[in-house]
Amino acid sequence: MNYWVVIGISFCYLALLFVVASWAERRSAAGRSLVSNPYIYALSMAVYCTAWTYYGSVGRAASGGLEYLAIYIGPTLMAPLWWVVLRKIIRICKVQRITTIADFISSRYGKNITLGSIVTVIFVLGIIPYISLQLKAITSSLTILTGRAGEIEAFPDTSFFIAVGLALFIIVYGTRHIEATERHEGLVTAIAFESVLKLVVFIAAGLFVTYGVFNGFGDIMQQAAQLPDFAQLMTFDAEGGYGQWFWMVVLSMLAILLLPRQFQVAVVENVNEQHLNKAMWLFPLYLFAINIFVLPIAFGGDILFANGTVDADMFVLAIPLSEGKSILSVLVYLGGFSAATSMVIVSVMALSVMMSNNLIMPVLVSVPGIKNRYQHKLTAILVNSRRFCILLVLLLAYLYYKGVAEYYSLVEVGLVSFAAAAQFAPAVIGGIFWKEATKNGALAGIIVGAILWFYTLVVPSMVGVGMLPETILNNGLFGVEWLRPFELFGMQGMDYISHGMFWSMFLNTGLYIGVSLLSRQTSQERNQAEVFVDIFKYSTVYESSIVWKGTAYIPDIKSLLVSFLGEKRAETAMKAYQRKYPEPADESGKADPKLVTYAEKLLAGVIGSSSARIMVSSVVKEEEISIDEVLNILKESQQLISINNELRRKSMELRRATEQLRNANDRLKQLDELKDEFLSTVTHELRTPLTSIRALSEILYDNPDMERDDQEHFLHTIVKESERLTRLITQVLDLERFESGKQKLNLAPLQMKEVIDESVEALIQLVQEKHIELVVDVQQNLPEVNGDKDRLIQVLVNLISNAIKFCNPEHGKIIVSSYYIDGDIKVNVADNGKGIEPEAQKQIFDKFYQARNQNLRKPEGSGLGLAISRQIVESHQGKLWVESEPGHGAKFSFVLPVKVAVPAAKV
Amino acid sequence: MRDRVKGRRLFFISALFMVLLNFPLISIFNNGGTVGGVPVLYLYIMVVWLACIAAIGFFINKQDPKKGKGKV
Amino acid sequence: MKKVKDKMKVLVVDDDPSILLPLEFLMRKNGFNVFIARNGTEAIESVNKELPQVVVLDIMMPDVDGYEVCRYIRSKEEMNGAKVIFLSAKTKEADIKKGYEVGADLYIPKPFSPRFLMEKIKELSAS
Repeated sequence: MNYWVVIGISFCYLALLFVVASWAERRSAAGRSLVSNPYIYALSMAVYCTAWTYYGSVGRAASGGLEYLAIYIGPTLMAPLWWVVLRKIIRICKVQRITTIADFISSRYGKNITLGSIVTVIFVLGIIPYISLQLKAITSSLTILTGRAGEIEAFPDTSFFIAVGLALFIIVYGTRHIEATERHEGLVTAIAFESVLKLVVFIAAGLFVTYGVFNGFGDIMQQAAQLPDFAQLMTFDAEGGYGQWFWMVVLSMLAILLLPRQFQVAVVENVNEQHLNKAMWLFPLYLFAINIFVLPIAFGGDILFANGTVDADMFVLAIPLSEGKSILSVLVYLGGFSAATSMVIVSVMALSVMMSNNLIMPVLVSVPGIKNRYQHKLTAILVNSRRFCILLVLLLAYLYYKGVAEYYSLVEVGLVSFAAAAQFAPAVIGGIFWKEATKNGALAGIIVGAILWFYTLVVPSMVGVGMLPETILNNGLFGVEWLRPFELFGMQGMDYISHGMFWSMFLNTGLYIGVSLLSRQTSQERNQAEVFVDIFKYSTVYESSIVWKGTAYIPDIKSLLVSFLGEKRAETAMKAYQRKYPEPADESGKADPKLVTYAEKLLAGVIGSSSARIMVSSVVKEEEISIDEVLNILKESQQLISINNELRRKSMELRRATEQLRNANDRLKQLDELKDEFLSTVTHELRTPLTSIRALSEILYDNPDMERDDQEHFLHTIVKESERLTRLITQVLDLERFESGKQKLNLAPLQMKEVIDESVEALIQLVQEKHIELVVDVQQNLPEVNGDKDRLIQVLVNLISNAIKFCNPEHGKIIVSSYYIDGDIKVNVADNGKGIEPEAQKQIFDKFYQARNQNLRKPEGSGLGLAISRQIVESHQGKLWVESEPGHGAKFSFVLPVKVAVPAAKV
Repeated sequence: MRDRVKGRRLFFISALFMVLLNFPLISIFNNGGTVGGVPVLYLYIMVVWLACIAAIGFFINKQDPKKGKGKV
Repeated sequence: MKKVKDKMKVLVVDDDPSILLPLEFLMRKNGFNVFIARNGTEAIESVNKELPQVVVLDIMMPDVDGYEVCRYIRSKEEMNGAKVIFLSAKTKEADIKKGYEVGADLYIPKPFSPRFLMEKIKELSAS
């Protein structure tokens, strides 16, 4: 493929990244941020998958077998721990405005400048090879794609220009804001975009190899089984294979937490802690997805290029190329390009901030001459120092690539970088869980760990390129045998990574703990330790949890803020402070300790915590505080916090109680209204017979000469109406007794058949008068139920008389049936009337439903019958309901349990 | 308090799968055999890996049933 | 013939037969020409047909209620001058007020005294 076309495409791709990033920044400026979403967050974490994953995994699988998976299993096992570990780190960094992992470590151990710079130096040493590795991957893929393998380019070569292009991108989108805590939305969006691209293209390539070149997964496996080393690749070597696997898993677990680029995307660019919820499983899923086709591609390459002419690292590109798929090849190249560039972009940015904050700024701010002379240009100096660092890192990476990296595989260099990051695990993880850990412990652990790392992992690679004599490897340093880098102190039987990891981690952790136990903390260190370990307690009241004593003046603090943040930002920051702590300022212009802490925190976001410490202490007069004093004050502030929490809880309880009271009141009111309604309905129902009785009696009294027939008719009506009145009163009282639970049942074993027969008996005359067909169908030998016979008769009479009222007026038919079912005795009363509308089916059991719905009102009946029946059945622990389809009659049913041990009456 | 319970559960997953994916358990499948042409060890690691991801997803969702996408 | 024509026409509306009974007796006894309706629809039919001078009206009835019947009467030109008396078990102030609003001449709560009712009918028909 034409060299210049590919170069053109590469730079077009970089231009596309610019477009994506600036689009995201514009969106964010318009308030429609893309980054505040857990999917973008999880995707940006996939910056973990670099060219190492994209090209190197295949190479590793082809040569080393399954062990390549360890690098992805580790992060998967770490992901669930994020909730405990990463969430804490995120909170600490947000509260203290920490922007790099070097800052994090130096902050924890008393904002110590030495510690911060040592950490930075180790990171730079450890990560630059890793960055140069990405440049190497880009170049190798380019030469394969353009068929220029073997040609040596003169300076300035392609990789140089790519490095320059990336530097430009990072400078534009990585140093946009003076405060490093500000999120780089454009950059993060570009990284997420690259993550999608590399995953999609890699899977596409995998599908092509598996199903285009071969006949599926099984086919590749079958052919691969013929390869001489297949069995060995697909198993672990029983000698050291398990150990190597274990150490790789541990190594990658630590790397995912500690690598500067992971720290950048996972902690600094985190918008919302809750995004971790999605990332914890989405990110491992991403790793899984990108690994599905690694093995098929590796074996595919092994089979296709059995002569060994192609570097296994480049199989993913070489296979589509050799099959003549030029578009897929270019896409695969771009996928690898994106994997490499995303790593370079984030790592370089993180390293540049680290270097500028921990190596350059401390020097600048502690030399009084520089500080005073350039007071007003500090912001410009700061940005430029970061830009300088970006260029410097990329230049070093380029030089390293030219000098050393060309001789090593992607994975080897990557692992050495991982091991460097792992050296900070004790200081970081110990720092957030163990208050007693001291600066000296951290320093000792890190320095010794780093030396061992350098000696066991870096020195051999220097020997490899001829920078050091080979005798070191074979005979040890200065010929001392137990100093051989691969067999330190004579330890054997481990591969070099496990060996290096074991020694460095063992001594690192041992010294960290040991020295911490033997040394003492300064009061400031202790203060930071307390805040770090108990961050969830202090995060809302951070300013008052830093104990500070001394004299500071508000104008000094203000001018400090102005020189680093600019006039406008400083003004906003002061206003924000006053909103949070609205106490009046001291008359004499003295600054409150909280303001000092606040200002220091703001500065830390700009120039790093140790430089911020230096700046603040240069404008204030500080007094010594003892550790006891710190602890006492912290204890007080903690008590204050817990009192506050207690108060908050109390007031919540109070609010809840009020709410409950209000609800109870509403319910009572409702009940009251119901009662009112009931009463007015009752009185209304009572008035009707009363009216009749009164009118008739008065007429009888006034007309003694009435005709005999009329007199009798009147008197008969009076008697009937009196009965109606009595019935109504009895029913109201009944209902009241059932509802208030005062009604007692005379329980006795009884036969349902008797109950039904007696009820029918009472109504048979009415049935006959109306020419209604009545069918009684009771199952033979029904078990006895425990019940109040009179009450149950009352229910049945009510149901049957309702049926009589509502059945078909011409051809009335009523069926009363009873049978045993599921431990209950069920009784049905069905009629063939016009049925009940579905919405009315529940309401008919309400008191006086008829009265309120006059369309249904019939001359007889109080409207209380069904309500009472339901009460009676329920007090027998049974159930009464109706089933009806309008137009097809209604069926009232009730069930009574056969076995009722306890008396059913509510007493 | 709920955060703490959640942290413990997730810690348990991590520890459990750490054991499942390491020596000595892993040696059970390290016999060079194949299932349908696929090496057993590879199959085991991939399946357990996927199970681990599923377990994390399951435990997180179990923790906040009321939290939907709206929260983020 | 003439005598029948002179008799005052009274329409009595109630859905409860035990109340219609004394009312019908009273009206007849006092020499009125009495018509009976057991619900609102019947009442309106009867109003259209007989154009009674006095209507004694219950309120709570199936289908059309007493208020509606009263409104109907008031909207009917031929019924100008007819007297409407509500005779109802609804005794709440709001109900009574509504009765007068829809155009009743008198609202008598149940239970009522036949003597009182007759006095009032006579008073109203004289005015």
